[in-house]
Amino acid sequence: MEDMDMLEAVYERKSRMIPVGPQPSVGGGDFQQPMMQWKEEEESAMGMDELLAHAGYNVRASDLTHVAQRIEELDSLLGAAAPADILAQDTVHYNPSDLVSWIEGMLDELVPQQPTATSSSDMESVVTTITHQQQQHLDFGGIPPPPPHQQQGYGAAFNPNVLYADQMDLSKNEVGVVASHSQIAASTTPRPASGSSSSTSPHGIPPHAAGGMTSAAAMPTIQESDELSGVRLVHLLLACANAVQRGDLAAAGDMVAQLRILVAHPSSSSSAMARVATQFVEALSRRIQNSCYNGGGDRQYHHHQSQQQQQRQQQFKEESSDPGNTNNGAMDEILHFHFYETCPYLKFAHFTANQAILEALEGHKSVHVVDLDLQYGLQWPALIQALALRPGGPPTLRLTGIGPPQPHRHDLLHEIGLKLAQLADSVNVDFAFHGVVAARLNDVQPWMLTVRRGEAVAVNSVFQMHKALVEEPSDGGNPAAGGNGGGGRRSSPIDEVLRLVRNLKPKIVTLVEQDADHNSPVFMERFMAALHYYSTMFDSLEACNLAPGSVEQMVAETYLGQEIGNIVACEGAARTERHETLTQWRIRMARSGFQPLYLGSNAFKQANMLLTLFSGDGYRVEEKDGCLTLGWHSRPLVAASAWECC
Amino acid sequence: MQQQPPSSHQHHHQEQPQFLGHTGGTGTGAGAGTGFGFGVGGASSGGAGIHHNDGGLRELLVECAAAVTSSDWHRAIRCLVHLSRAASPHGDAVERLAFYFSAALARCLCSLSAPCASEIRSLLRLNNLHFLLEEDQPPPSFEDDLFYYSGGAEEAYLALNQVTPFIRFSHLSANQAILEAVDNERAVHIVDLGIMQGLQWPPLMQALPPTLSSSSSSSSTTLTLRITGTGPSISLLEQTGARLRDFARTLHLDFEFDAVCTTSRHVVASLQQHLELRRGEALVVNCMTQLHKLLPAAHRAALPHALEFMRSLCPRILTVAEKESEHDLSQSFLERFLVTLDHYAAVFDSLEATLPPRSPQRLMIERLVLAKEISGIVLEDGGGDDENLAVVRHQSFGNWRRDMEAAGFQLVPPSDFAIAQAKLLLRLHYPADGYRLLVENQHGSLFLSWHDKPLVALSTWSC
Repeated sequence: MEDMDMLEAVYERKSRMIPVGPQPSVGGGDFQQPMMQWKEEEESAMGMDELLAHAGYNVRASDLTHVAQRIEELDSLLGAAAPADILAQDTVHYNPSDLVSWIEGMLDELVPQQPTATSSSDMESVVTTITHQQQQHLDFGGIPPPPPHQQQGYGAAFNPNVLYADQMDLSKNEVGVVASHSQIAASTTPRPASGSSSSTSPHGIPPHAAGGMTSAAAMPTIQESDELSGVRLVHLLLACANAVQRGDLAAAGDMVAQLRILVAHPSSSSSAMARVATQFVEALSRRIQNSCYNGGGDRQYHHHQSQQQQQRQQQFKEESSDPGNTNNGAMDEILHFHFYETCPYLKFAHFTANQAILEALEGHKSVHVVDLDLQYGLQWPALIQALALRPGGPPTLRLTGIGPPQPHRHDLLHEIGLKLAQLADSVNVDFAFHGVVAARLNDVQPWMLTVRRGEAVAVNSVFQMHKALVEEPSDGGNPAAGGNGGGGRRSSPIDEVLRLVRNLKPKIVTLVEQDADHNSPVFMERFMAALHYYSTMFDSLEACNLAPGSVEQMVAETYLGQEIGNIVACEGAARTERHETLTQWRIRMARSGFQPLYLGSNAFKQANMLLTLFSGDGYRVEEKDGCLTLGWHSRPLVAASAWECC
Repeated sequence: MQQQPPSSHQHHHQEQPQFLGHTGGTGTGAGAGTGFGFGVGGASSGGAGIHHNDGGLRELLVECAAAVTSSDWHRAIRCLVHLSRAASPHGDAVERLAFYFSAALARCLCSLSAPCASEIRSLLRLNNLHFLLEEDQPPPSFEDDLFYYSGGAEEAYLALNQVTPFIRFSHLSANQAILEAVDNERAVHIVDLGIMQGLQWPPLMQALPPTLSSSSSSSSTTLTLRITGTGPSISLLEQTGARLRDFARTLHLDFEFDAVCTTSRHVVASLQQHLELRRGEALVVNCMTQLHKLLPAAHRAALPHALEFMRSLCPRILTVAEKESEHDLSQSFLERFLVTLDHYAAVFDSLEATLPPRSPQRLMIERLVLAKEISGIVLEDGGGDDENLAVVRHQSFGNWRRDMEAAGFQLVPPSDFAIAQAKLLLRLHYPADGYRLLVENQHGSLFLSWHDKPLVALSTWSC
């Protein structure tokens, strides 16, 4: 079962066999709160809208403190709270796979007198039980305010908020948003400070007049500083990427250090560009570290190395550089739930796909949905509830969920299956769940999916298919999957996946993908495309009712930051976020024997209705040749399409 | 016809109808009548642009322009009266636009019918329209670029730089082209025509060290940057020089500043005398909205000469930013008026999307920068030197290209890096969705546009 490539965890359970009562496996160990959100009180059939609302899985307010705690951790993980000089020293040398202990070591170094809250497992157990007010103490313990002498020296000159934080009695229980804001401000101050003392940047000038016009007489440098830092940010970011592309890692490292100072500048923190830049800077930094391990430049990595070396490196990268692996599963879960909750993109994907599936499976008595990436199963309660309300009674529903192996926790697929089964039971849908564990989609074999005669099959892929665009080493260097390759030459993973899907003879394939071109082999092109894409995405976050600087906003940004990290920092098999445009997908799907299934006006209406739940005026749903895109102003960001076999 | 308009000039309304009936007895035909009725009715509920839902203001302006060009000043004044009811410098974009174009037309009327100027003035006064002339200094007292240094105007220019991307876009895209052109150079000399406050150069200075330190392996070699700035005010040049020197010092950059005091129309003659060139320096010539000052008839002949002079300097790169608008010599007054109206409709629209209606910055930009440009473009170009200092003309990129190529320059297309950077900068400072960067692959020039209307063209040239 531990075998790295594929294993099938099969547990199939009729819903009526699910024991009613307290959850057997939930709540223990490192299992996190948000999973408990599943609404179980909805016993009776309800109206559709209500049901959809219930599918929202609101995170309880009491969990927010917990999330805040984790974000603090993550923030420190990403180096946002670390002084620049320490980062500058260690940029090149430390082992990224040991990120957590490195950060903790750094925290210890900063606050030797406060050894609390440096171990994440400690915190978890504490956080879930303590109250809101107590949380404040813990927060300050986790990321301590800078020592007083630091603040007097330079911190105060940079950030008016620091004065505020300083005046505030930290031992008092000043609960709530204000307190945590100033605390965040305080935690970031050491960076510009130490930076200005060590670098030649012009930020030693007095604090700018925030906003507004300075009079013409007072115009010199002071007024310019604010704008200049923005201009410099953009230029340096691109110049740094350019240096990475050239393989000039020393210059790139210098620029990363400068960029860290710039993005930490208080005047930058308000702009979406600076926040998106923060994510890109960290991604660049990680890429530079990876390149250093490879003996400089990934060009080498691509070509002049033996197969074995290459494989070893790929393995190393998969283990160390994929940001998803440096955080534990619980963190991913929190990020996922919050991103789902606060931003419309995932809901758009789920609801649009569900609507298409419902329409395509209409009238079938036995339906089988294959979800190529189950994640936390958030898509399916709504579908189950909709099927429950079907005129003439609900069909038999089988759901096959594919998910990656979970190294850090017990069987996630199983837990989600249980939850869904319970929900199906409560609305009288005959339901069976089937979990398939596979590290990669192309490892899934047809027999694992157990499609039965007479079933109407729907295949669903939400932000997943692009992961199969990884190029395989040409002679199939994967010993675990050695058996198949009939003609000696393996076809590319995406072709295998699409062939598998086609062989299931699905009534419908729903495909939701980022509408972007992040799969260029040329690093600079990819970097620029991603920078534009995610800066639009970050702009849109501001319209999601997310207060600037709020925990929710940071969660959403961190979620997207993981994708950014993968696009920018990873190469080869570790680079899985290979987003391609809707046009590219159309061509690929057509080539693989699929034809477009027009998403009806129902889906369009529903998607638009969904947007009304989010405050932003800038979101726009557009219909393009039967596909729906959700975008921000004129830029489409996410594309949903549906397909059937030719 | 007597309907009360929702106008900010309520106090005028009492006298106007009587006076109109008195002088305009001959009538101006049905066309004017319908225009008025429409215009007065719905103007203040104005829409997004001058084309749509402008309540007939556009028709009224065109009508007025036609009257001005045919010296039918009674009709012109009638139009102005009606325009003044709906137009307002404090209204929405369309009303503001109408206000400044009314003012430009009134001023143009005075200058076209110069012999009757005093009569026209009193007529305007009788109609309570004299404010159209008095809002700003009358044309003869301002010399285009000298004007910018009179206190408020400098502030307005800085506000324009801060609020709209037009200036900054030009500066930063030009800077990127310069950086790419002088890569690996140890000594760079930039000749900046019309340097103003030198806002363009701090970002370049900041960008220089990382670029150069990475390309030269020995870090001990320092870069020398020299800027020769031209401008009409020696005090501003000195201030600018001091500020740039201070800034360069914070970067430990070896920097020199030379000033050449001259107006932009005599810049070539002054440079021929005073420009100091040194061996081993990579030369850059930077022309940010300067070349068009040679377009009015009085200076037109000097344009090829000026371009040839710049060509003779053999610069590594010549950067040119100009407003994208066509005021050809062969155009009629009315054609030019329409082109200008469309251009500034987009500009005012962009300001409306960027700043709230009561913003003093917006008012300042419109009153002190845009209004000047508008009246300069609307003014007829008599060809005389003294009276036509205020005349402003532009030409489209296509024609600039013709002129540049005739002088022996070759277009240098923007790099992918430059394009990506310009797009990001637009996003950084101007979240409004309307500003767009258009890249014309065919011509290799960058255009900054408001929605689909290109407003500024930036191009870079080499020998």
